[in-house]
Amino acid sequence: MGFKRVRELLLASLAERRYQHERRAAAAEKNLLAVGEVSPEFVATLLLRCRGDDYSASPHHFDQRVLCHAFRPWFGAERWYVKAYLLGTDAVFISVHRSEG
Amino acid sequence: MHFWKEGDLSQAVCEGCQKLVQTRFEPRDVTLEVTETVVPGILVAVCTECGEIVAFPAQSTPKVKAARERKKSEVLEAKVPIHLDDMVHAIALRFDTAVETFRPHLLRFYLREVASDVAFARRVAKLSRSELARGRARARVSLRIPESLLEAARAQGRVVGMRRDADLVRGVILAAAEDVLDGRAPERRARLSGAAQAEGAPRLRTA
Repeated sequence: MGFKRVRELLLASLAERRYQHERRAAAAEKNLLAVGEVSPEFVATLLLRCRGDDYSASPHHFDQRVLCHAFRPWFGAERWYVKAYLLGTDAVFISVHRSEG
Repeated sequence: MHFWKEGDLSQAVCEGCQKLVQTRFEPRDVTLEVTETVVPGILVAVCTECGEIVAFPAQSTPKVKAARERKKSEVLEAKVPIHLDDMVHAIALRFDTAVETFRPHLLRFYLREVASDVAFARRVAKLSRSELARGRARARVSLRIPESLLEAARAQGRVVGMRRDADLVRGVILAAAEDVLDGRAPERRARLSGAAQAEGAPRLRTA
């Protein structure tokens, strides 16, 4: 599954609110979508700003069968970091925050 | 818009089990670590193998956000003359709603108006210095208010010459009395009526 298809599925999960947040980053208040500091519409905007070279995929460090998708879009002068994995058409967001480096 | 129900099953990667697991949605208290906010009884995805919280669904975010805002809210306290407190009671009666639950909504509504509109803030400042604002301050007003709103209202207040919370509170009560009781601002009164109706008040009488 390539960049465009992954993004399409994530956009659909955001629009339909068929997504969850991984507990650790959400409880640490680092996932800004989880705590309501940014909206799903804003995250959709971030994803739509990505080009193919802003995207990468890697196995989840706890379970190699799960592929994690990372996006590093620019919004204004800030770079953001969005990381999620897909379970069918549902998404689980791991990170949504401004890039730290 | 999708909503998961208590008892629904899903999947997620469990940190404790270190693998993809089946999860079940259950209500749990969640503690946020940075702000030490406890979010009570939200629906979360629990690992069916170890029982730990693995994830929480999009639908729980509004409760998380509200809990963080409550945590960050401040208490605004001021004393006002009795006749200003009487005005608040008269406004609540006009909306046919209970004053104790309506008062904080009324004040937060008007403080937001102050924060958002400098022309309105100037009117409130003028009212806070008027003859009607004076009198021995005997009635205590206390309400919880989001930190960001209080700071924005205070900042706008300083711009227009209101330096104390008591000036803000007196000014907004007098502005509300003019708007609602004297019919000065039908559009604002209609928006305020919506807030009162959300608290269980009947629809505003138009006559």
